[in-house]
Amino acid sequence: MTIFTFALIRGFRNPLSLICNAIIPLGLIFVRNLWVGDAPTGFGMVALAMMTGAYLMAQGILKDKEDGAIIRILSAPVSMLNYFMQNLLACMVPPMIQVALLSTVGFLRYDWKLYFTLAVALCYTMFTMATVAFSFAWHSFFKSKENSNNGFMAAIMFIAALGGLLFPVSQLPGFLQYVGAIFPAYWVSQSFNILLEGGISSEFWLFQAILFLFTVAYLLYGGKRKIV
Amino acid sequence: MINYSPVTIFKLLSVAGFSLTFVIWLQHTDTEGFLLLLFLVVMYLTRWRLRWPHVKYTIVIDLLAALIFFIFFNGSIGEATLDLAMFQALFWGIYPAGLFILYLAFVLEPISLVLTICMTLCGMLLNFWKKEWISKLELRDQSNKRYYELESLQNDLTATLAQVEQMTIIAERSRISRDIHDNAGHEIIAAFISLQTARSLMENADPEVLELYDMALERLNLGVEKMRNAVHNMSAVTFMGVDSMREICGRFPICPVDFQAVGDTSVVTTNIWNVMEACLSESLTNITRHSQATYVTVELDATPHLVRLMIENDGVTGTIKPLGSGLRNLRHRATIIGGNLSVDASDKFRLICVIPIK
Repeated sequence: MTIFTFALIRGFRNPLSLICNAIIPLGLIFVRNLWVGDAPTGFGMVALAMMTGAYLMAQGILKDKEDGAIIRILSAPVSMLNYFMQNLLACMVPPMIQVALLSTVGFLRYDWKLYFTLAVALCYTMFTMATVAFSFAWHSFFKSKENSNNGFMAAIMFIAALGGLLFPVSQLPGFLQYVGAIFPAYWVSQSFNILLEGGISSEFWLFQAILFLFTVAYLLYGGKRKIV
Repeated sequence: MINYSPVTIFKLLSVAGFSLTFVIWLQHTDTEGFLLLLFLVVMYLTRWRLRWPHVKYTIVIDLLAALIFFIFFNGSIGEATLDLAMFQALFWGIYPAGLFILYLAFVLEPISLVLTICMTLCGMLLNFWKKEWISKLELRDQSNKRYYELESLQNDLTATLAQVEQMTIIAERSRISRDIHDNAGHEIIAAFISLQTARSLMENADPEVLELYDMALERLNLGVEKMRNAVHNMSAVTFMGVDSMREICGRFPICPVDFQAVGDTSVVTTNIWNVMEACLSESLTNITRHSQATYVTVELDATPHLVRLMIENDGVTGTIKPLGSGLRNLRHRATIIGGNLSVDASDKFRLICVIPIK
């Protein structure tokens, strides 16, 4: 698990990654107004922070491609799949810690019911997997870190707006309410809406299945052969 | 610039199909429809990413999923996904998928049926185009391979020409050196010895005559010495012919090589030696790479009319694989000078090269 450890440490060396993966989520969790009321916006904000944090953690793989380190790594007795999976695992660790903390704080501080807490943890877990896979697929598209960052900064606002992370999609006009469905963010926000409105239903499980399929799709697209 | 291969067109049309299906979904926005669409995307990416030989048959899963959705859920998304699945199935050569049209003929509106038939035919046409394109690529690869083999042969022959020139020069120098040593050298040395003997009989001769005689003898001695040096310098230091082949066999590291040369090898020309040495080198190289031989026997048999080289080993036997490019080139070279190269692997592996002496 050398690559895993190195990828984890490298991810946190970036101050922005530390902020998005640790400080912002921890800060948001303890702001009560974001989590109580009819339309709590905390869920979307944490999801946005997770998405940005996962993107920054996954940047290491693009850096390896950029400076040729990946050629040296793969000349070692390490398969490409092993390298890819260890990086994937390293990117998932910070968001999963956030999920655990969020669930614990929500259960203890905001009096969430157990089923609600577990459902929120599940939603965030599925979203974490999808967003990490999305980050890998995004990085596989670019050859340089700068281009990737520029593209992502532009795209994330669209994703957040169309996905309902910043405000409910019902406030968008017409068909724009559903265009965000091509992003996992839409389905995670819809999952939270379902949970807040009526609890777990069959549609909730469909949303989780969609998030899982997004993970698979992004991994297939941005998989190991596109790393080099 | 896009390379318009049938696979590229298929990918473009598939992406267009998925996009269009998403647009249709925007009118209904049901979760099940999106789930189906995303499932089809995942299956498409799976076929694109995984290079299993029979991965194309997973299209049947797409067809079944689309058909189930079409029957039990939303009609328009089901139709669109079914059209897309049938298009992909026909492209991948799953022709029985076309039989779904028989069922759809009873349940679809005429215009929808026409669209389905068009998508199916499009997939089939792309499939035919793909087969033709692949066969043309194979033909092109074969002709490229043939071209490169001929180019390699030409390079070998060019290198051989230089080697033959060099060997001819060395052989000629050896011949001159030998002639000087055997013919002129002996006569001159015999004359020198005679003159030295005569010198002892000339003790009472005129001192001036003796002085001139001694000077002439000294010059003759110097001349013999220079001739001896010249013959020595002209002698070849590199191995040629039998010696060269013996040296090649001696250097073989894998197993003992028993080299036997029979007959008068002086009649063998430089050109033939070149081919024989190349055969021996190539055979020993192949033994190193492919065979588990424990011994090798090399027999060179020179008659006044032909030269026969046989290389035998106890390594891999059985069905002879097609000759590699090295042995094929050697066969060409042997054929050019009227010879033949054959391989026999019945009980032991034997390579036999026979070249006539003209």
